[in-house]
This record gives sequence, structure tokens and C-alpha cells, in this order.
Amino acid sequence: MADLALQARTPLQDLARPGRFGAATAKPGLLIEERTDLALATVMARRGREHDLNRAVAAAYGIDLPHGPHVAAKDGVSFAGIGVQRWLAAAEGLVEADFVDRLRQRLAGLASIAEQTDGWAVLRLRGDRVRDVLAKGIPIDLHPSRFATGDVALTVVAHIGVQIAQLDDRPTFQLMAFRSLAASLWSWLSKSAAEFGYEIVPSGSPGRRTDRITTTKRSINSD
Amino acid sequence: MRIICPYCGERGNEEFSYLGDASLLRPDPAGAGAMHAFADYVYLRDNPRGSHREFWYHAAGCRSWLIVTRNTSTHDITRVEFACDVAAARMASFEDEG
Ligand SMILES: [Zn+2]
Repeated sequence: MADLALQARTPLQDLARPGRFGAATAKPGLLIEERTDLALATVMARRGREHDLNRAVAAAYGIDLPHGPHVAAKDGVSFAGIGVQRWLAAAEGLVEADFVDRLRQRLAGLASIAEQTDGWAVLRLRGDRVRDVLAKGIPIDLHPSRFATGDVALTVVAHIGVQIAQLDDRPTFQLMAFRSLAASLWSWLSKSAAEFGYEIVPSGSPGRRTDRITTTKRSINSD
Repeated sequence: MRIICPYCGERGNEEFSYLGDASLLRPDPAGAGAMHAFADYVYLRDNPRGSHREFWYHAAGCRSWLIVTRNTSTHDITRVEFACDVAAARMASFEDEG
């Protein structure tokens, strides 16, 4: 097989370069981090196996599957409720390089698993003005009395379908959109954040998704 | 207009798509008079004033099909159910009947 000169690219690689942008405020109102290290998969319960699925996830990951739009996490693995008997499973920092394959094995017969790892742009957002920035596009109420740590919502921003979750009390929000819409989401986010000043920080986690992709490519080429 | 999705909570109607009357059942294509029954089912919809049970799809949210009971003159929504629950209950009642 001929060597392929493929290069792995993150969804916002050319748009979200580390640095300070927007208004020259004393302190950036928003900190933006593109997460490129998350293994992602959707999990859909098979009919009649819901109870066994709950037990299998608890046994494998020590997580009680949330029933509702919430996220439950442990040791870098999380399950976010995205619909009735449907979840988005995520593993940070390549906790397991073969996370999705292992998930498929562990939940065989109980759920349908669909690999999503390279399908999403994932941003972590925090800073003093994070709620002010999000309020410009997110049509749901993110006031702490209505949306708290552990809450998840699927909604739209500027006609772009997104998933948003509050990850901690700081607060840090995770905003996700399909990869093909990443540039459109970025157009909205960068303009909305400009008046507060924003900083793009490098992905803070040790493993990068691109490393894993490169490794996979090498193993294909060596066959 | 806002719809309280049983999964997601209260959302604006721009997140949903409307299908129509939820009380109609698709005719049997192999049944007698199927052509006439389908013409009636597809084209001859009533347009009632007042309480109406109708399908809405939460396209930009949890992707659930819902049955919303809405007053067509005031937009008051009195009930929102998962369509799959309504269908399951209907199947169960058919089975009970024999
Ligand atoms: Zn919903």
C-alpha cells in the first residue's frame, strides 16, 4: 500500500490559535480551550435491556447512568444524557486508547455504540464573562438557579445544533458542535466574546487525539 | 410559543418541527378502499379550533417525537407526552381487546 500523506487536523486548528484576542481588557473575560483528547461515542440502550445496561456501566466504569439531561463522570470517563435511553460517552486524555472498542465489548447486546470521536468540535469555556458570552446565543437559561454543575442541554446557537454541559462550579462549560459546523460556531463565539477580550489557551491535557490518529495511520501503513 | 419537552424541559418552538394531527392512524395499504383512505389521510385534514392533539419533533434537542395537546386558538398547551409511550399504550390496549 502506498504511503498516504494524511495529516490529522483538529476541527479548529486554523481558527483557534493560542493567544489573546478581542478587546484589550485588563483580564480576558473568556478563556477558550479546544479539547482534542476526548474519545467519544453515543450509547443507545437496546429495548428491554435498559436495566442490564445500567448495571454493566456501573460495573465497568463506576458510573450510574443519568436518566435525564445530566452528566455523570468518574476518573475521566463520563456519560451525558442526550435523549431517552441515549447517552454520549466520553473519555478524557485517552484514559484508554481503545475506549470505544472496549465500550462496545463491555456493553455488547445491551446497547448500540456509534463512534463519534472525530465528529465533534469540543470547546471548554470559562472566565468571568462566560455566561454573558453564552447568553448571546444559547436560548436556554444558564442562570445558576436553572442550570448547574452536571446539567446538560441539547439546543441551538445561531442555528447550529450544540450540546452544552456545565462541568464544574467555577463554572466551566463544555460546548460541542458537529465538526463540519466548527467554523460557523467559531464565527459566533469569537464575535460574541470580542467585547470582553478572550484568550485561547492550549489544550491542557497530556494526550492529543491527533497522536492516536497518527498511530492508527502508521499501523495501517505497515500492513 | 414554548413547549415543555418531557426530557429537555421548556424550550422555544424554534427547536421543534410540527407534523400534524396525532389522532389519525395510517390506513392499511392492502385494505379495501386503500386509495380513497390514503387520499383522505394525506390531504383531507381537519383544521379544528380548540384542543388539538398533534405531533411535534424535538429536532434541535433530544430528538424525541412528542404528542402535544394544544388549543389552536390560544396556543395553550395542556399536555405533552412521548409519542412512543402513547403508541405503546395503544398497542397494549389492542392486545387487551383480543
Ligand atoms: Zn427534548
